[in-house]
Amino acid sequence: MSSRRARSRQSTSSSRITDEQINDLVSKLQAVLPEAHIRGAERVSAAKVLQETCNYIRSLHREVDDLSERLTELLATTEASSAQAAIIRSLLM
Amino acid sequence: VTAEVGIAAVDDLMARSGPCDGKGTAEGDRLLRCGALELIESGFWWEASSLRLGMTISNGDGDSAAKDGRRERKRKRRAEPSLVKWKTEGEQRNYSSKLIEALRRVRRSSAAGAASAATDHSRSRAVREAADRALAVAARGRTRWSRAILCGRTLKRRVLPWAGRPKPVGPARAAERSKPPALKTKARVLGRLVPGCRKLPLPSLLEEVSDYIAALEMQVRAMSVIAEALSAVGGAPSPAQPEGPM
Repeated sequence: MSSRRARSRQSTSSSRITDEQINDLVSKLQAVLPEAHIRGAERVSAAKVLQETCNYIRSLHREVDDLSERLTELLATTEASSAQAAIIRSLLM
Repeated sequence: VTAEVGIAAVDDLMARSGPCDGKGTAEGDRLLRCGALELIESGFWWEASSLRLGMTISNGDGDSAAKDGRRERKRKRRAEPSLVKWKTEGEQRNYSSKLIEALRRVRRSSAAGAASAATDHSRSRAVREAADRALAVAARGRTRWSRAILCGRTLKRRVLPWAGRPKPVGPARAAERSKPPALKTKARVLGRLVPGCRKLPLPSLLEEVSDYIAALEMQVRAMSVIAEALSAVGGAPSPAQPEGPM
């Protein structure tokens, strides 16, 4: 065990990834996930965090796909005249 | 119009500069450099600066994971506030206006070539790709996923001649073995979900993932707002209303 630690400290210069570094990044990632405020500071395993991250990204992709479909329909039916373009801009800005 | 032409120029340039699947090739960088100059000269300084930033990170000799890790650690201070930027209103507004220009372009092209692009599915895929490209441009070339989107989508199915990368030997491989296999599998799945991050070591991958997630969330917010705006406009009794929320 200690020999492994010594080796990892030695080869940090060649950017060997330490466990602490991984845990640090994983906890940062956990903070970004949607359930972060529910979980609070509860320590979740790294594998679980990665799994939830994968699920979250997939659900975001699905949302974007759904929104793309919706926008496609709206674009097809909307007569984007210059007046309506002005309305859209004023709604957004 | 500027945004449209700018994005089209970036599209074309990125397609020409070859795959930037997280491995900055010398040839790709050279093309990016030329393209950046072209864009600067033609006035699209913003798109050009995003290319220049992209080049700084994927510089020619950055072929090994070790060098990338060191460089990213040096840049870490600059990269840290980047997550916050995805939540700002200004960024979202900027993205929304670029997206609307791109959507108008999609609409015009699908109206012109009505026969071929007539299916809803291909049109919504065009919308999705326009949204992703606009998102990648908004990232200003600082992340691998954004660069991969800008140059990878069209080349996904092509055979990549320089796709093979010499595998890291000795100590690096031992480093990879230090992670439990369950973590490695999940990390690989995650790497496949984020564009351009398949062969990234774990720390870089996690950095990319958090930026990618923040960007996706902004994309969802912006597209929802646009969809709401369009459906409100579409349901309006007379199109000649000057302005106002409803």
